[in-house]
Amino acid sequence: MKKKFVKRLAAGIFATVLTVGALAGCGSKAVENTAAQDAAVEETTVQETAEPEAPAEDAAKAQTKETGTDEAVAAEGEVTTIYAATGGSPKPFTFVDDSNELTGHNIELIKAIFDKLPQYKLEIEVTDFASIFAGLDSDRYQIGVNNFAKNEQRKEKYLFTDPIFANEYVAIFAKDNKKAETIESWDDLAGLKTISQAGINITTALENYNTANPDKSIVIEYSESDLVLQIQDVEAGKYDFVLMDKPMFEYYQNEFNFNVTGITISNDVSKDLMEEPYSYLIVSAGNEQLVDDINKALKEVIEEGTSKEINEKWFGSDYSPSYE
Amino acid sequence: MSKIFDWQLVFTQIPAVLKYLPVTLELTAIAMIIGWIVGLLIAIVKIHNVPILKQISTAFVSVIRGTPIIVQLYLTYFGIPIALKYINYYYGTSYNVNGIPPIIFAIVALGLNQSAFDSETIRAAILSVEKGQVEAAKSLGMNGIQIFKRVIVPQAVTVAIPSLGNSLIGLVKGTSLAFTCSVVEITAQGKILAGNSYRYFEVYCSLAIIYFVLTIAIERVFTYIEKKMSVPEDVETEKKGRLPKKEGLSSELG
Repeated sequence: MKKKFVKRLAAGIFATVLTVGALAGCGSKAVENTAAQDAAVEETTVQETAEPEAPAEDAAKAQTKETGTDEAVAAEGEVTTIYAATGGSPKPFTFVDDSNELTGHNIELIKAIFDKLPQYKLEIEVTDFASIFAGLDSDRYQIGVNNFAKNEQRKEKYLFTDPIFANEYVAIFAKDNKKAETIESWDDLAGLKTISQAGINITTALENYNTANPDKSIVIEYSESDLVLQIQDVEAGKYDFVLMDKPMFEYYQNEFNFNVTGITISNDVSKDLMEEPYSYLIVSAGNEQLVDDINKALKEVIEEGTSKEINEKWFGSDYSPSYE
Repeated sequence: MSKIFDWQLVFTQIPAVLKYLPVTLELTAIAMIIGWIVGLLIAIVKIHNVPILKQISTAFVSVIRGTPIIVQLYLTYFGIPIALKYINYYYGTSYNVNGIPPIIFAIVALGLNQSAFDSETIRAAILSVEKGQVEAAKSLGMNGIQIFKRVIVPQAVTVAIPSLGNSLIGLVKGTSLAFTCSVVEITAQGKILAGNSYRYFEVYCSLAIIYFVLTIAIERVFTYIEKKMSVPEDVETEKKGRLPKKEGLSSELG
């Protein structure tokens, strides 16, 4: 009687070890195994739960899995699937609209770029913001599209395309704040306290400024809290100011009409301090070819005026970077 | 000044969020089952002191319990592709996990997380069954499986149910982190909706309501199960307690 029990135990233990192996990532066999086990479950459930587009996307993914190995060996001229990731915010750069379609300035622009690149098939996934970076590290995604700014650390890890958007920042102060009257450039912000989310372009701009001006630094408090709350904190005087993309601030004011003033931080002044007030697409390491292709297409998109159209649609004025 | 808090939206957007409730439930249900099965195996390994495996499970449980779920999700979803990148580089293979749907990573990570917590609950529950009963069952000629099924499980389940319910409620809320693996469930859908309307606070209020209702439902179910399970204790003990023993004896003799 003991034998039976032990046998059962051994079978169970084998399964356990397999799953533990999968978690630790020490065996690709284990990974495939888990996938195979769950694939059946997945197939039936996805169709019930997902939006109309999702099954098609899954099918496409499944296909890449099958052909994945051949593709890696790479017959050129074949269509390569590129996975782009976005956080789905902030609007109007990237967001999901009322009809459940991913859209926004960045999204339309990247689509316009890939329209010119028939050798690639673009798949855009919405994920948690921080996951974009982790996904680029692991090459799960090849492109990050979330109005990203550039800094030194990022330059080491990721590849950057040419700029896609010439940013303008506004510093938002409470209306009755006297400090607001004297602000014209980044220097005037020195010593003031602000709040910002880790990883986003504004924070990168602030950090770049601080690195360049260690003696006149801006006090940054990091938070995951929503911008509405951040602006309310500024209204209440908890922080001196909060920095925002200018076009975004206009959208927010439209929706909430806060009791604040936005002061445009002039780019001319900021250019010396922050060499590049632009936004970019970021590409995972090792995809130099992809970056070249995107840059070529991007240039066309800007020169033929598609970029201008997209900008005017979302912001009312043109923020396209110029090539001079 | 326009509306800072749009309370109507809290309720009007609930249906849009609920569209993804099936994903949350799917994550929860499958992870729960994985948690129970793997948890049971770990508990058995620990109780029976199986060499090597016991050490592995102890390490597994302490690592899983010692790290937040969000970190585990990252490690499974992004760690495995990174590991494969290295493997591919050094061994010239070309494994690629991008074709595997993200939800599987979320389910596996949540399930294993659940198993670590459940294993301790199950172990304690099994150990709560008096040794004397097992010995008695043995003396009646039951084999291991019979003892497990007829003596240990009915008693252990009663002990384990409240804790398992507790950890299931934790799991429901844990699924809200699946967005890190690009799985869109209700929290992710909430964030996406808010990305459009800028109304994050409202969305979190809607989510609070949904999770609260879900949790109450689970609580109810578990209270019901608990009640059902505990009935034999007071009234029908004699009848139910005797029957299996007789069966066990006669089958052994026959």
